[in-house]
Amino acid sequence: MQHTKYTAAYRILFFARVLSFLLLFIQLLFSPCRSFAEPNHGPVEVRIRQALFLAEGIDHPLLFGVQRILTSTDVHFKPGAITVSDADKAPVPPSGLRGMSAGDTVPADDLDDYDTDGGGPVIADPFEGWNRFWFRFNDGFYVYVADPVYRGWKAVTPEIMRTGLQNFFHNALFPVRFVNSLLQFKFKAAGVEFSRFMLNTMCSAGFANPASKKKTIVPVDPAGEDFGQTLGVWGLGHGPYIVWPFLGPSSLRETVGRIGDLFADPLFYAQPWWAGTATAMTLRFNNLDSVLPLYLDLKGSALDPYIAMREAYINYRNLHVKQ
Amino acid sequence: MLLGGCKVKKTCCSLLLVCLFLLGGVLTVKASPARMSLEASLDEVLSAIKDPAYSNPATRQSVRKKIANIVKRHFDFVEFSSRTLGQNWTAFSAEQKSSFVAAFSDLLIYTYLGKIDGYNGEKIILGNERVSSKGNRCEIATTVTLQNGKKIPVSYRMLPKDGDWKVYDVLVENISLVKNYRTQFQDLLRTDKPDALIARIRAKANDLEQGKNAAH
Repeated sequence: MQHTKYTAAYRILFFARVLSFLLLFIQLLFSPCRSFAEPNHGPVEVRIRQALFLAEGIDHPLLFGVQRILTSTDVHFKPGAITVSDADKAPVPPSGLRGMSAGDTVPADDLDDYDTDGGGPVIADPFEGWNRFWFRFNDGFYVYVADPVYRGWKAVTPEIMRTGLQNFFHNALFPVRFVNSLLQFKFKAAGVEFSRFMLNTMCSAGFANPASKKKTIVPVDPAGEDFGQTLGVWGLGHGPYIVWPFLGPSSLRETVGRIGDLFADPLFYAQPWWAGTATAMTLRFNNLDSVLPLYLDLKGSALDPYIAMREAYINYRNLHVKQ
Repeated sequence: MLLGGCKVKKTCCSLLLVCLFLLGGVLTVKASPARMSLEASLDEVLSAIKDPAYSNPATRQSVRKKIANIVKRHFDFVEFSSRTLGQNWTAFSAEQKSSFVAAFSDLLIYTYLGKIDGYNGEKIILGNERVSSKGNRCEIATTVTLQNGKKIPVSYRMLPKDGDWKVYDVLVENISLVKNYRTQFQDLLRTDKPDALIARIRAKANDLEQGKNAAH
């Protein structure tokens, strides 16, 4: 009995899967995307541009909700944090500055005068000596290994490939953001993540990010949710500050969060393990261009880079928990 | 940008926008004085960067001086300093206060000048404005778009002073500059005397001035 039941369920699932792929295929055949498959396109870049453009017109039954959730052509962040209005696409006056039409006035009373809060460190740092040691180690690694190697990488790869890989990595980590949005009870944000994943995967296997141009029904943190933030939302504090070799600043909570996120990371399950790890490391390395300049900037203007980094990291994480 | 948009759509958008601008001109858009002041100063800095003299290494120094003067006019470095030192501010003598303000403002200005060296006048978009209920503090959000398409949120906190609005804190990626320096200075002041702290800030500012940025 048990066996038959299992087979029936399995068959239904299998049938549904085949049907959905068939539908997808038929849809793609008749959708504007089909011109993408036609020859006579020049360099890869042109084809990607076309795909991106066409993706805006995709409307597929499997993408139910995508058009609803991602509607117009602008990105919408939380007010007060970042607001990019449709000014984004507007021609910029010669001065380089946009007029006032973009802004709204929002009342706010949290513009602190700073004399009220004690201004002490934002996190306990009982292992300061140990942390400072790894901070110096990482600093040497970033400056003398990662930075030169990344410059070499930049010299031998076209920009479109680097951004493509970044997009692919971001798209591959969709389960992390999706699961954590659900764990934080942000169901609409989870829907947005899902729609973005569907759109990006279907039009470019994740190498392009046309969904980032779509307005969302709720403001969604562009960096995405992760388990460290989820724990923060649940009310857990940071615990002590920890600096890990190579990975950099963290805290007890963020460390637990990182480990938790591994379970939702598809690359963690990739077989053989060494191929998965190598891919993950390559993709992480490829993402360095957003991290390295920030780090060097921070270091360049700080009197005590260790403390500057600690404060910036913890404040940054705390802001993301609030968002 | 990766995305090559639809041309017709873009033309329509720009036409619509031109109409809106014209309409705005007629209706005289109401903007707060803080916003106008910030916009004017950002405009000044941008036009200085676009000056051909800036790209010429021989005349670059004079343009850098010009930009520094613009910044000095629109930033209130006494407010910056007192906020950054917090409770320690009262422990400084008048003389120490003034030399601290001088050193710290140089540090901030040279950091700022170092940052715009890698910036080619990409667009800055003024966004939301948040105003305290008393109306004496405001925060104006801007978005700087870099060449690689990355958007960096930079907010300016301002207060009224001497008949104008002056910047008293800058938030890059929502991280307050004042708060970040505040913890560093507090930590250093646990072991150092105020004069030693001022000397360290001065040394760092001089390093930055000579382009000896630890970053490069």
